[in-house]
Amino acid sequence: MRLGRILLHRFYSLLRRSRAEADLEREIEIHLEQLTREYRESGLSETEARLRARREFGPVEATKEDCRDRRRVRVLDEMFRDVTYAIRLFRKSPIFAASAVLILALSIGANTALFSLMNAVMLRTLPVRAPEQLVELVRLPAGQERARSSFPWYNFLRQQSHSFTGISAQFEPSQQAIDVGGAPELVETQMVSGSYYEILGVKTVLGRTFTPADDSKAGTSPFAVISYHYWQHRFALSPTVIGRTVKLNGTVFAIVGVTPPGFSGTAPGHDPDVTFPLSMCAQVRKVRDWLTDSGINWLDVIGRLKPDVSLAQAQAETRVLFEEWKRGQAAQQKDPRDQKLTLAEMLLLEPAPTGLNALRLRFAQPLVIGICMVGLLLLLACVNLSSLLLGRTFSRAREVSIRMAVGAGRHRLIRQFLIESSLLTLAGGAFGLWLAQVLCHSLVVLLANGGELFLPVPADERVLGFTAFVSMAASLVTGLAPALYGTRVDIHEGLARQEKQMTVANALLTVQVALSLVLLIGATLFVRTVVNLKTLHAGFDPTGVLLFQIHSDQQTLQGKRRLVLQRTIVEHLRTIPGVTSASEGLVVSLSGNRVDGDVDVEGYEVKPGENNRAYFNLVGPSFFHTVRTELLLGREFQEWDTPASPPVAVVNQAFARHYFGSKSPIGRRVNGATIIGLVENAKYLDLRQAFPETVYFAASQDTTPEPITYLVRVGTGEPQAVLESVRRIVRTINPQWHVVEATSMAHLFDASILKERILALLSSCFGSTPCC
Amino acid sequence: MPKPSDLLQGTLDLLILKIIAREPLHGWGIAKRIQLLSGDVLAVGQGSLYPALHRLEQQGWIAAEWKDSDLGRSAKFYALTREGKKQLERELQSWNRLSSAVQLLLESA
Repeated sequence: MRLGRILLHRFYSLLRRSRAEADLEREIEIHLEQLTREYRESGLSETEARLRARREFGPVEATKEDCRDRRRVRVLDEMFRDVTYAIRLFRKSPIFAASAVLILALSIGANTALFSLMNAVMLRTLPVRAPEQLVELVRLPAGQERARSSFPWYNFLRQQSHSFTGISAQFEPSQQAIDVGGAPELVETQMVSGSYYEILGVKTVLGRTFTPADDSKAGTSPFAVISYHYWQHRFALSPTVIGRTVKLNGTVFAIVGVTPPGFSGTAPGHDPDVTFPLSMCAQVRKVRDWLTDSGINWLDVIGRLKPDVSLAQAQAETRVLFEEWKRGQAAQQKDPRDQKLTLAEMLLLEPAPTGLNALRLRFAQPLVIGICMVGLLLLLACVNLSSLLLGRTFSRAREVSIRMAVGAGRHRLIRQFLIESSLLTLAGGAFGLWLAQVLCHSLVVLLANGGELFLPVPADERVLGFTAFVSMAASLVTGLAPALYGTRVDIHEGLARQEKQMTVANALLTVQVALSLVLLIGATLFVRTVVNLKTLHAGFDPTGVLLFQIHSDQQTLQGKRRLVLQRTIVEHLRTIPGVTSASEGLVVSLSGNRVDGDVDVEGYEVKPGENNRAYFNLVGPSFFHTVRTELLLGREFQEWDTPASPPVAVVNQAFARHYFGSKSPIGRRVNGATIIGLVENAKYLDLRQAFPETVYFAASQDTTPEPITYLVRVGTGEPQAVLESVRRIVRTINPQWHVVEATSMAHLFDASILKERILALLSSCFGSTPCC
Repeated sequence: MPKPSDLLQGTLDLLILKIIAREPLHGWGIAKRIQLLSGDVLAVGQGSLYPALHRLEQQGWIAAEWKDSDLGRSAKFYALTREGKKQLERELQSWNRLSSAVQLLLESA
């Protein structure tokens, strides 16, 4: 094939210039040798012969230069002419050009958008000193996914390990209501260890960061560091912000520093406004024992490797430390089963140059699948366009023959065709880059699922490079077939050519149909999954239920007084117009929280190796009625179940089948409580999980202060509609109470199938495009 | 010996294509063949042959390959490509047209 040979030759002379040069040298040398030989044979002396040969050949260097000149192509000049010609051509058929550019812009834009997200989530390193030295230390409990760490383990690690220049710990950022003077406002807060800023190498633009001294004693460092972003929009960059105070849960914290712009912590997707020291967790989160209990795992741990220590070395060292730690822990546990679980735990060291890996893992799969889909979409668009261009070559056959007749080489014409398709993709790519910005924004909103997701998606050089590469590939895919077959003009073979072009057109059509099918089938599958999950009977009805918690400026109420207030609140909630029922509970299904433990059923012998763990929940009166979990036997909890009355429990079908077979569970005893009711199975942690064995205890009998969630069911419409009334009611009961973490059960439900929903949405958008 | 006539501009291409149409040949061979076939009337300035060969190769009409040769060492052999054959046809036609036109002009003038 001539094109192939020309390309090869050009490649050869371009990239292997020295080789071509040597060839030229040798070729001329051979010629001179032969000339010399001829003269020598005619009787001349060696020197004379060589001289004559030289004279006959002419100036050697000039000839060489002439040869080199022939190889140099007048690329730029011709290219310029081709480009102007192509532009003139497109101006003659503006509708074709515009629609081609639009198709390309859409598909290149979709690719760029998804790549930008992937770049932001998975590739962008933290704006800190030497991010490649950062390592995340993740606990892997047996049979579970990655888990957080406890404070005592973090402390142990920090003191014993020699692989790190330092280790820091932090508590996941979340929304909290704080008081900066005026009304309470919702901000994103986080807690970090005193070593955090030092290890990251982040300095403040104002004031100081936390130091290890802020970790020294629990509750004695009422300080806060705020982000540049928060400083800007809340304090208008006022330098007097240092020393101002923020009030949270009744505790006053002094602002001591402002972090630099661009730094948004180490948790991708978050941008904490206010940061507190870990040592203040009791005040910040109203919790007990988090700093002392090695069973409470709440910390993400990041270390910075010493420059001369490899990840493998650190892994080896920390594993030994972890073994030592686990043995110490197991020794304190009585139950051999717990000991076994403890000893089976593993420790994983992961490079963390892009920050904590949790968000990345959550979004990795949908993003990768999404980018494959838009890749297919782009391929489809190219093939589409390719057959359009091919169609145009039929009508351009005359033009091509004329150009060939006046002496244009075929390679020249092929280049012309390729330049036309590159111009289209170039315009498409530029337009697509702009489109991607818009698309990205919508995708971030989609990923955030109604919540807060901080994801700066800069069009950095990686994104630009990606778009350039994709556009170039697209122009090749689009232009090659029309270029090759459009320039094969031969009057004698006119008919044969037509047939050949039809074959190409048919092949392109086949590819188009196949690609569309793949996209369509993918879309159908993903949509089907979501429909399945949505229509699956979860054992509760998530629509129309508002969820919220109450935070108090004062100290948390303890004991029986809290239970009384709890009752008062629920009673008041029921009086709101539109509300059909209200209750409270410790764990709301699919919220990601869980309480589990061993069960002890009276009269039931646990066989060795038998799993006697179950999920627990504490729920209030009318809970099952409110979430619409069907009561099958007995009764729900009632207001008269108080700490003074005998403890009662409700179990689900899965639990009853395990321990009582087909017999009624009513009247039997579990963990010291009498079973008074049997309810249908309900999903607990995950929709995709089988129904777990669950035991419900009465929230009205348990006086331990836990963050209780209130549930309000509305008759019709959106549950958020009654939120204002709820706020008012709560304020009238106590002006120092605030409604926080308000959400809906349907929202939790949607969030739990976020991955599936994103895939379904993306695939149905992109999968149905080719059908349009 | 009369001085060999200068080659008409553009005819060198035609000669080269025609000569290597029979069999692939190296630069030295082509030069000799032109000299031989034209009975020494047309002498290619030995040096000017090579730029022409390189240009034809660049155009894709001829292709080069290093092969063992009769010269006692490997040499760069030039062969006609399929496109080159077509080009030869075209050049022959236009040469015929030109030469008959010139002939006509000379006779009728």
